[in-house]
Amino acid sequence: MAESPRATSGHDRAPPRIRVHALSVRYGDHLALDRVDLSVAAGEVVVLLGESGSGKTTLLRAIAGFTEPTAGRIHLGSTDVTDAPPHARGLGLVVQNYALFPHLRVAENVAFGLRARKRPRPQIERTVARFLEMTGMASHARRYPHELSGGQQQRVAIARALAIEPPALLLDEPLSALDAPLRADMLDELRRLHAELPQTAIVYVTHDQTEAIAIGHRIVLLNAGRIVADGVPRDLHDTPPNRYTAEFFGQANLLPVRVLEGTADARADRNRIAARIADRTIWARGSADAPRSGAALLCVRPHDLRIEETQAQTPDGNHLDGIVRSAQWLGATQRVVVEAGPSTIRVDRPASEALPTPGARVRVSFSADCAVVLADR
Amino acid sequence: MSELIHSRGARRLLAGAGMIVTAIVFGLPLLTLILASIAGEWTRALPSTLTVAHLRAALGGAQRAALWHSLATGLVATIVALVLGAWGALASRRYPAPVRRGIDALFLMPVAIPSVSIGLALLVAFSHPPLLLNGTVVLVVITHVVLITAYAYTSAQAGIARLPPSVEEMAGSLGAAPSRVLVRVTLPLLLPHLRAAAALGLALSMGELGATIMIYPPGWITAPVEIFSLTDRGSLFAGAAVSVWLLATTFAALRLLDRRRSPRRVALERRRSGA
Repeated sequence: MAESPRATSGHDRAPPRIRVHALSVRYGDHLALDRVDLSVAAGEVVVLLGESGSGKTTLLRAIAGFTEPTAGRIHLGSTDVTDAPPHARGLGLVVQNYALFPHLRVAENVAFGLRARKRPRPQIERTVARFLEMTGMASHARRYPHELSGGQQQRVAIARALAIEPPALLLDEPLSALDAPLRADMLDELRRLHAELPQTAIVYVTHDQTEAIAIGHRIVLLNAGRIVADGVPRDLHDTPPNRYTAEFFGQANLLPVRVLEGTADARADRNRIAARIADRTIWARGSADAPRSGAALLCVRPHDLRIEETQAQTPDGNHLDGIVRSAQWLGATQRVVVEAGPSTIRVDRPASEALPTPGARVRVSFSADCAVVLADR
Repeated sequence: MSELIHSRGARRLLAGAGMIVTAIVFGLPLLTLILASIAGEWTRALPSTLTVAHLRAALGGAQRAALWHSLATGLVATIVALVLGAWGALASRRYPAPVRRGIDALFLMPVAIPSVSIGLALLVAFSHPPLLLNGTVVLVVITHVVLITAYAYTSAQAGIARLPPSVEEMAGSLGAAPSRVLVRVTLPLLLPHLRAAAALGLALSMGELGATIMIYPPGWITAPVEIFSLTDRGSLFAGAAVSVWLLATTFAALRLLDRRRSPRRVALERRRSGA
């Protein structure tokens, strides 16, 4: 799922599968969702990412029809479903605890939505067989849910949601009840299923950034009921638009800097900004709405930093001198914490390098390509 | 209880004593009742002569009718109470907590009120037009419904509380209209609880005397009323014989209710018990 289908298929002039416009949900005094806009195209996998209480599940439940919005509209295709009950929306839903019907066999669980639609029996049997096959559960058709493992139950839940051939599949933390190795398998499985049903839009709710990056064409990051970032995972990771996004993705170092006025685009090659930090001038890329002067944040990921034992000049001249506070071996990598003036910098390096001694003077360097200046908010 | 005691000997002693007390309190009266129903003469510790005359007599005439009345009342009242109780418990979910507490109180009140008082209250309430049900079978059934709905309601509530989370929502999202969700998901999952409520309701109704005695019409004497009047007139053994048949009828009805379990139900119950 590396490529967004919107980038590859130029033909979709059709309305998006899901369009949410200025949606707000209020529980008493608590504003769970605050004027959220979201659009999901056919075949697109959009991840709603955020901490618990960020509003991601509320948004999903509102789309599914279980939560009544206080304001705003929800469209599925060209139909306004804001006031439609869940059963009239025709969306596939998979939840964390699977919610299989305990009194029905696996095949009957998968057939449930088709029976509710009064499909002819031969068609139901064919469809059930097809989706049980697709999810690898065909040999368990006669079992009851309690006879299955968590991962198997999840497969049945996915087969059941897909069997109604919904325009969009809504997944609410679908992997969080599984252990780590199984989670990775199920992610692969979901990617494979989506490849078999390339037109199905997927909205995937999670708090786990690894899952989000692994499956999402697009990530919508929510915080306190608002969308704080919406973009391709790579972009959000490499050029976070704001502090929250930078912190959420990969524990970025965020160092306070002062942008030097008039330096944007000063270098001919690319959008580069010069900024002052601890009596040094460093160069970095600017995020979309990076300030053109004054206080800002410099975002550098721990694995993009190098530790130079010598005082050698780096090509960009981007370096900070500091003292090693701690160094810890973590298996594949080592984590070194360097104090550079007022800033504490985390550096991840390959474990093969010599572990620096605490107290040692070191030079931390980084390429301007890996550093982003962003607004402090 | 026995977990409080560590010594193995003391624990055995306690268990033995418990069994003896249980046998005396629960078993002995039942045994005495059965003996009385076949006693010809009983002046000493045990009956001196035995006869099946009482039991045979209890299967004819007024006594047989009384058994039938009890069974019919019990079955109808149980069905109505189940519908009312389950419906009330399902509906009360939609209301905010204060309203729900009010509904709870309304359904559970008959448990707290002496049954004689309930009988009296219904007698007074339904003795004036347009609600003139005084002296009709309908009032007997209503009385029994009032008395046993509380059990159906609490059983249904317990079942609802144990419904697996979000299965109903899931059924809705799969395209099932609310009525289909109820019939295909909610009620099947509540079935074990409703079955238990039905058994309890039937047993209670078939043994009900306190309220029935206030409102029964001459043409619809139930078995407990018959037993009471027989013993009141001194026909102790005849009363015991009706009691034994009432016991047998109730037991048979309960067995029918809990007839051979389907594999599906066994599977479901195993899941619910967490095994």
